[in-house]
Amino acid sequence: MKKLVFALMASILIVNTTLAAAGPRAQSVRTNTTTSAKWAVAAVAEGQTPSAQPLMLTWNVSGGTAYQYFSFNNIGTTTINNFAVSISQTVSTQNGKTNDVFFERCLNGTWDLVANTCSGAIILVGKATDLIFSFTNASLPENAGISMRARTPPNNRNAYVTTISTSVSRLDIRSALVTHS
Amino acid sequence: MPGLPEKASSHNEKRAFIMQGKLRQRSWRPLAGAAIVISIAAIAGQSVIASLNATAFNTTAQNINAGTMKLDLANSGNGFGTSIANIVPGDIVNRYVTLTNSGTLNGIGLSLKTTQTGSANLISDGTGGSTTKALKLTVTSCSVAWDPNAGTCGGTTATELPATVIGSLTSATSLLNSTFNSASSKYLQMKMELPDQNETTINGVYPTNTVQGGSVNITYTFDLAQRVATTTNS
Repeated sequence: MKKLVFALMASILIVNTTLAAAGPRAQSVRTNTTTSAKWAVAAVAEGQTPSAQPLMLTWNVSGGTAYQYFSFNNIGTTTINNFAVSISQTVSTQNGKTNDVFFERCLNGTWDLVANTCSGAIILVGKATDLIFSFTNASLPENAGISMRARTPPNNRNAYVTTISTSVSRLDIRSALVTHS
Repeated sequence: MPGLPEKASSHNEKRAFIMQGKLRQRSWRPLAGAAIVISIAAIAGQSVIASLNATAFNTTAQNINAGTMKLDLANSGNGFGTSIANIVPGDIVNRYVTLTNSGTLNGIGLSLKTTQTGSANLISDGTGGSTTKALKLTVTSCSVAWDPNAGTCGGTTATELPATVIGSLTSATSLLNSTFNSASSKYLQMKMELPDQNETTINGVYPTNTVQGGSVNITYTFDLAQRVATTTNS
């Protein structure tokens, strides 16, 4: 009996002590969202959508000059200042060979896909034999694109595939900013 | 006459009997009277003792008020009212808030914790083969209100919380100056930073572990306890 009474008294003492230590508190709560940017350029064939794959141009020309139209599209969420393009080519037939391919853009104009002309100025950006070329100071905004044309030399009679890959690094977008608001 | 012997024949015998009766009455009457007097005196004595009381009371009621605990948070500039969008590695976004102890009690143990949901790579640093660096929060106080547009403090600054990965703030962390008196304010700069790090996207495909294109919802909880209870004499 004495033990029971002692245990009861001890329990009461512990509870009272705990209640005294807790005390009222105040809180203030806020929620905020932070999102991060993404930087990416995709080579996309005319009339197609980005496929998360390199663009492959298949050539099987019996004569004359062949053209294929495509674009470099900014599919990220921030302006792209620079991006690199790497080119590789493979033959399609056992005894064939690859020819050089010229990559051109229509500056201050648009391509006529039927007449194969440019309403502005045709600028040679690079060649397949360059293996790598870059766009610098492109200032390509989100969802914008650079319309391009790949052109074979005249009298091209080989069958081969030209593969176009793009790469964008952190260094190819804007510098870091410190903002206050 | 009651008690009179039947054979009391003479007048004198009758008279003697009567006299004896009277004598018997007279012998107990004094005692009865004394008893009555004593009783009356006792009763009267008690009444006199009960009335010897004195009372004192305050004419004006004493007012006792319980203190209150209340913590208010207001945006200074955008504060927490506007989301942080499209942050890139190396960016530092500073937001400003004013925290006020608007209760009547002084507080102690001011702390901050965060809870977050969303992209894991923005919440915690990468481990193992992943080298991604997550968002970090730094809290700096100014003795006077910050200029939220210029980010300048016209008084004295103190680092209340050093740069900490937000995923590490899930337990309440005491601020440097955790004592918070009633009716006072703390002017806080909440600095959110995505550490500089390089990633390369190839053919529009992001790296396996990437900080790109992420989103995090962060809940900030400031908590304040009441001051230590005191015993006063006055």
